[in-house]
Amino acid sequence: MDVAALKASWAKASGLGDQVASYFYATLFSLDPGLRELFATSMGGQRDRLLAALGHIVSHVDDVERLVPFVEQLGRDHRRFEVRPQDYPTVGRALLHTLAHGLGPDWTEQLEADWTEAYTIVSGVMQRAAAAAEQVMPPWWDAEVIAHERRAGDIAVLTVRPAHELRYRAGQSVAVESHLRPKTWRYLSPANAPRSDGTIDFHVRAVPGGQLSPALVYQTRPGDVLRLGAPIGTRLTVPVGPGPDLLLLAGGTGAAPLKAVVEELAGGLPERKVALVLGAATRWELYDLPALHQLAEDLRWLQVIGVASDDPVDDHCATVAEAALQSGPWYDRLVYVCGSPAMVAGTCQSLLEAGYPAANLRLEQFDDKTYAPLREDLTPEAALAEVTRQ
Amino acid sequence: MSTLPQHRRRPLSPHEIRNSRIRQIGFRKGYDPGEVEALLHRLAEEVAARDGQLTTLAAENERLQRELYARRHGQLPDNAPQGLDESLIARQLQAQQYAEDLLAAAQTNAASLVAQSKHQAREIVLAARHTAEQAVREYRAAAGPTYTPDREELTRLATLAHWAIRQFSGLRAQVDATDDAARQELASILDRLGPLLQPDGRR
Repeated sequence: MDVAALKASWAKASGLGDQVASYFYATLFSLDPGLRELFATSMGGQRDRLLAALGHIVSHVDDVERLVPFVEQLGRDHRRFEVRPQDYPTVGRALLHTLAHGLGPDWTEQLEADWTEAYTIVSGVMQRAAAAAEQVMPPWWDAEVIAHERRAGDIAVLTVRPAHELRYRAGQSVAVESHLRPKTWRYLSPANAPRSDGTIDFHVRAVPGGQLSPALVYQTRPGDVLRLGAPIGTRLTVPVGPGPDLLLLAGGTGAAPLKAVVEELAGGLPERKVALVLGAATRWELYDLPALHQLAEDLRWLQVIGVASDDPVDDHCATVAEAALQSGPWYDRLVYVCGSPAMVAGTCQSLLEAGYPAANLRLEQFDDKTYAPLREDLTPEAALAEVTRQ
Repeated sequence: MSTLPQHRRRPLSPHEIRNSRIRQIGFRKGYDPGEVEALLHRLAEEVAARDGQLTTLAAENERLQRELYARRHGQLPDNAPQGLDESLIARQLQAQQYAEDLLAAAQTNAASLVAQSKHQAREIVLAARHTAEQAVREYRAAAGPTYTPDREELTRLATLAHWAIRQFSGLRAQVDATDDAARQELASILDRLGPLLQPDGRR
């Protein structure tokens, strides 16, 4: 296989950007119209994910040690999209046809052979990983909504009960899908440490014009069944052994995984001091502050600070970062940051400027633009650089 | 959605989508986010349905063309198993583009409606606060030596609650959705505050 030629041909084809992905899916659905059912109505995020994943595979095609775990994870993850083994050759044909179309006169028989070989290897690894996962876990967990509580207008707290045990660590995320928005998966973090009855709380804010969150907040009712993917994420979990004291910084529903972390610590992990700063635009949107204050009363190692950044009737408005820096210093603490992309970016920026070491900052974001395994593949430094560049 | 009957089977035309009206809530302009989302959902479903219809029709068209070719020539075209007809791909691209444009427009609309509602909610809160602070100033002026910080706070809260109750009673339309609980909560606050605010009230 001519790796250099492969990379050069991808660079040229992917230079056409979104068009390449659109053409690929149009070709795929022409080959097999039934495959359209596997995708959400809106294909925008899907195209971004495809290009990012393909780009990652091509650029690491000669780095097997890094590539194989990523492709395996991709294969396991594709089980919840209900991809069947016979779909892989169809995807391969659509991919080759797209490359031939995009490269025009530069598409040669040699390139076709190289791409065919590469695709055969990659799709083989994906399918074997998917088949192996079949023995270990379901493609997704059905989870019945047993409680749905609206808080603060556009926020809801959902409690679900998975039909089978779903093992996760506090701080992890799971992909969630609703029958109200078929095939639209978004990542949510359990807001509680694992319970003996297996139930999970999710905190959801309806993103205006969003695709899944408004359905979860406004239309979901007890009795509805959601689908949950396998838990992912490593950066917002807490080491099981003794560790440094923590500073947890949460914006809005970013409080969910950090509340779970506090609960997990309370459940018997080696004790450490924890300060949790919770922020929202208005006091009204600090939807979980009373519960967290109650936790702080019960746990003497926990300190909770609630702050509004833009409240019309609050004279002490501050961002999470400002409130944290004022109540500090916390230079010796491990800092977990979770919230909207803007909140995470602003908070990290402020902490770095105040002299907090980058190595102490922990953050993790799964969005619909990138396949989650690709995010997990990022080094912490790269993740931080990506966030603060925004 | 007063202008969009739920049970009508005929799909919405782009004209109807552009001119659809969502029921306003409150005494100022504002929209029920649930209805905004329901409209968005319906648009998404219809777009998806049309997308699917286009795909099916295109595939059917291709199949018929192949059958026609086979009848005329006594055999299938050479590229038949490939099934990769550029015009079919072009139609697919068009269909998806159409779907995305509609969806993007609906999402932008939904987002701006929600932003508007939030802005109005903020104005309402500011006005309430203004009213409450005015009542506090009046209490201070009238209280003289009987002034206590507690009574000042009670005046503030009671004014806010009274004010909010007045506003809420104008929001009949959305009571079903969210406000029943809030009304009861506010009414019970007022009940508890009432005796405390009598001239001989004692804490």
